[in-house]
This record gives sequence, structure tokens and C-alpha cells, in this order.
Amino acid sequence: MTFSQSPSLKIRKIITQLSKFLQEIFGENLCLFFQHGETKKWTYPDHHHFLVTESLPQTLQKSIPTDWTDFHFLAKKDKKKWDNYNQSKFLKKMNKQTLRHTFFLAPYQGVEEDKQVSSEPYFFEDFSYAIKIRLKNDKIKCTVSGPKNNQNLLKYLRKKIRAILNNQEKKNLETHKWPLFQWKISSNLASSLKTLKNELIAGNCYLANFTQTLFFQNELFPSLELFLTRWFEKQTQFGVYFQNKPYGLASFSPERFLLTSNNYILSQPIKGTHLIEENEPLKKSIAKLWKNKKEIYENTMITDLIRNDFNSFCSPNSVKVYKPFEIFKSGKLLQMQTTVVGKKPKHIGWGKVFSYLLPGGSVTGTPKKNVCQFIRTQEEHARGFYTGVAGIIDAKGNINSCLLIRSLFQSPRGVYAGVGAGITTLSNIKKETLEFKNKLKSFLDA
Amino acid sequence: MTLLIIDHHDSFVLNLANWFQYYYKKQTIVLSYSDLPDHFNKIKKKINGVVFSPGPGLPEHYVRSLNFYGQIPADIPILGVCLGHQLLLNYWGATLEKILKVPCHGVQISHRQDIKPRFFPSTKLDGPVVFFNSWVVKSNDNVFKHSFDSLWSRHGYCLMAEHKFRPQVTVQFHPESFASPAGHSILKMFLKAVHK
Repeated sequence: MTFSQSPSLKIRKIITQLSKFLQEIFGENLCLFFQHGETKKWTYPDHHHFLVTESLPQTLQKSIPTDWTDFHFLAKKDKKKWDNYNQSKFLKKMNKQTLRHTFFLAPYQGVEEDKQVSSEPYFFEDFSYAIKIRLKNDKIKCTVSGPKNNQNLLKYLRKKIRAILNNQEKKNLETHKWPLFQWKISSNLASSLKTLKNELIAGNCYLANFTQTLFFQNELFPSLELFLTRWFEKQTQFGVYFQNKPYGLASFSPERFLLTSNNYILSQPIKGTHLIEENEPLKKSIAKLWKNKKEIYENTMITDLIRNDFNSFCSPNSVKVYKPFEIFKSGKLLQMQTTVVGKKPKHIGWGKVFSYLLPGGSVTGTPKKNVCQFIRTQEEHARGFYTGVAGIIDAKGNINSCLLIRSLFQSPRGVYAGVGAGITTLSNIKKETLEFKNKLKSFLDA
Repeated sequence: MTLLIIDHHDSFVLNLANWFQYYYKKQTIVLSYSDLPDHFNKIKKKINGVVFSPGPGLPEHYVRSLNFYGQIPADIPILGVCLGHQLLLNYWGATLEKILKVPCHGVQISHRQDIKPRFFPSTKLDGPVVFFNSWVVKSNDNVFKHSFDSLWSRHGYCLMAEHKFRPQVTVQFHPESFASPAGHSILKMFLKAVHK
């Protein structure tokens, strides 16, 4: 059994060389979307106390990586700057049925007023070139596609990529040192959590994901090479990167937002985080996370919230829960996730689906409307892209996307990152502050 | 032949609605409490059952729902869930109290019914159910002397109740949750009364 197997030096070299080569050709019109599969996940022993389905629709099952990793590179030659949109234009674009090789990025937007506060745009970009690499057992499968009207470039790309894959380029792999990020949890955290707990005790909300946004110096946004070094080191479930000035994203997200296959849809909200010291999680670390009632309660509420969001458009009785409270490892953190699946009626477009699902349940809370209002009034800075969603639409029109947590963003606002935790009446301020720190450390510290 | 679900803007209402849309073969409509007409007679459909959904806050924040409830003919089956449970009891005079220990949003309790319902077909209702609430009605509240029977109590709180003279059943837990395997038999029990 391979466990969180790090790709060999050879693979790192290939992916890095390929990325650099594509950057030379396409400049800033390049975006990377990586997805790493975990072979080992732990199934909650008491799941028979819950209404669950025993299997996933096959078409979805096949789309979730287990012992393979997918590297998607999307690029375009024709236009320098990417288009950006407001929410309604973005949703309209997403509704088109013929989308292929598309990258999208949606900022967090909870209530109407967020539009005015957060000036971060929605991105939606059709790419003409797509390179997909699937790595399985250290074996590589690669597809390169591009527009028919530029056969010369496509031929050249294929030739060069073949050379890189065959490792004929003799350069050594340069590793890049992660810079020092200086961060401090804002002193307002304790007082905000207290206000929030009063809301919870009054029954105005039941669970709220409370966050902080931290700003950094501009030069701290990682270069492509630095991002790659870091992602190979961390092996988070998702890795997303682009830098198209003045915007940029370097994501080490562990959380899947929406995966689709034909008309089946799947989401995997995470609630429950536990820091481990050991490389291979010990049984007692797994048991500790499951024994933490606060995390199980939170996960239960978020699962019902995602079911509710799915039920706003899914076919009757198609929304099911699969493997609740499943644990997997992302970097040094154990994460607890639940899978929710559903089937969307054919006539409903993806834009409509996103309008029901955004903002994500696990980064807001229940009831969503009240919590979003609370976030607006209590969080010091607008979240911007933090807790938004980034994803791709592949060659078959299927979506894969992640929630933008554990990510660095670049925009006219500056370079920033966010951190948060689910707050319930059972929250202990000391423990939540520690969770903030552990999550920040997991992607910001050297 | 319509089942009416009154939506109190919870984030779980559509789970309830979707369940009924699937199992109730006739029409199910969801109406926001803020869009309720000022009189029941203004609803132009033949209503066969009403569900008062969960929601944040307290019954007193939902004057329209309380008013509407008061006008529903006595023979129409009604189900109250969480806030809906509190709303019906509160209409008949019950006092809401904060749960003394910490509120239990997401806690599972195994359902063991103390008394069988009178107006609803008896079904086996044992199994886990989940709670998402901060407020409760105590089982020694006066409402249980004159208007309702408490069917299930725990730690002095009423977790399920039935009207003494009308086909109305209320549950403090969330029967529509994936964490309430026993909840489905309660929803089915209510639906049988609606079909009658």
C-alpha cells in the first residue's frame, strides 16, 4: 500500500520543467490545477447510526482519484489579460452547456453588501490549450490538445512535452526556499468569538465559520517554481496556481467543493481538523478526532446544510450521504469529510447550480443567511477570494473545484490569506485560537 | 390535494420539502412565512396537511405563522418541526426556555417513545434522531395539562408532543436529517394521516 507517496524526484523534475516551459510559451496566460489522490482514508465505525448510501454512482466513483494524481495545465495564446466579471455575468457564462477547458474563480460573496466591500472579480476563462498528465504508480499518461488553427504550435508543444516526459532535458531540479511569513492572530478574535457564541446560544444561528484575513508584503506571493516545490512537499488534495497580474492564486486546498460527472454531482465538506506529529497517522489520532463531539456535530450540521443546498435543484430522492466523517490526511493535518451526492435535472445549467451552492456551506454555517449577515458585521476584513471557489471544466464538460482555503491570493488589495474555524456553542476560545494557528502554520510556515 | 410547508428560513427546510415531494404523491408547496396570507381562507388550494418548518430564533419572531396556525381548520393534520414544535406549543401558551446546559446543535439521541400518539397510526419509532436547538419547552409546562400531550420527555424537556384533540404532532428533533434514521418513520406516520 502506498501511503501519501511523494512523487519521485524524476516526476517533480518533469512537472517543474513542463510548467516552466509552458510559462515561457504562454506567459501569464497559464493556470495549473492539480489533484492528488489519497489511497488511505478511514471510514467512521458508527456510520450505521446515520442514513447513508453504501455506494457512489459509478461515474462519480471513477472521477475521484485514489492512487493517482492529475496535473491539468490550461493555457491560451490569443489574449493577454483575462476577462473578469460580476456575479450575475459569471453565472450566465457558467450556464453555457458547451464549456470545455475552462478555468473559473469565484470570490466569497455572502450578502448583497459584500459586493461593494469586496471588489474582487469573478474569473471565467476559456482556454484553447489543455495539457493533462495523469500520474499512476510513477507512470505517466499525457494528453495535449489545442486549437486546429495553430497546428504548428500544437506540434511544437507535443514534441517538447514528449522530450520533457522522456527526461531528455538534463537540467537539475532547483528547489526554492519558502520565505518567512510573519503573521499574528488578531487580538479581536476572542471578543468576536464571544459575540458569536451569544448569537448561537440565542438560537439565531447554530454554527458559524468565523475567519480572519491577513495581509502580507507584495513580494511574498510565490513564483511558479516556489509553488511547485511547496505543493510537492505538502501534497494537499488540491493545488491551484496562476499569476495574471494584478491577480494571482496559490492554493493548497484540502477541500473539494463540487465534482460533477454527467449530471451527477458531489461535494465533500470538511469539518474537523486535528494536527498530528507522526507521518503515518496513528490509530489513536484517528480515534481522537472521531471522539471529538464538537467536530462530529459540526460536520453533521454542515452535511445537512449541503443536502439542503443540493435539494434546491436536485431530482427528488437523489440526494444521499456517503461515508460520513471519513478521515484523510492533508499535510500534517487530519481532516474529517462527508460526501454528499445528488443528481441534477438535465435542463439546469451549472450557473444555476453555483447560484444555489455559493457561498459554500462549510465556510459559512447554518442558517446560511443569518451567518452571512453575521460574517459581514463581525469579520474585520472582507474575505475577497478567501473561502471562494476555484475550478476547471474538463474536456468532457465535467467540473472539478475546490474551496479556497489554505491559499495565498494576490490582487489590488495586496497579498493575503485567510484562516477560520467553525464556531458552535461548544467552542472553546483557546482551542479555536490554536486551530487558527495550526491551520495557518500548515501552509504559511517554512 | 396539497401539502403546505411553511418555511422559516432555516438551512434544512429543503431537506424536509424534498422528502415530501418524493413521498407525497400529490402536490407539495413551500411558502415563506413572510408570504403567508393574513387569512387561511385566502389560500386557493385544497390543503390536506401543513408542516411548520424549523427556523432560527423564537416563535414570537414569527407572528404571521402564529396567526396563520390559529386559523387552520381543526381537522387538517399538522406537523411542527423544531421551531415548528415550539411555535405550536407556544400558541397554546407554552413558555420557551433556554437549554440549561450548553445547547446541543448536532447531538444524536436514541428515540424511545413514552406514549403512543392518538391521532396518528402507530408505527415503531425507535432509533437515533438529531437535535439542532437552543430552546425547549419543559415537560411540566401547563400546556401539557390542557392542550397537548408530551409523548417523549428527556431531562425534563418535551421532545415530541401531540395535540389532545386535533391531529397535530410536533417534534423538537429534525426528522429530515441524515442523522435521524428514526425520523423517516415519523414523517411517514404524519403522511399517513394526511392521506386519510
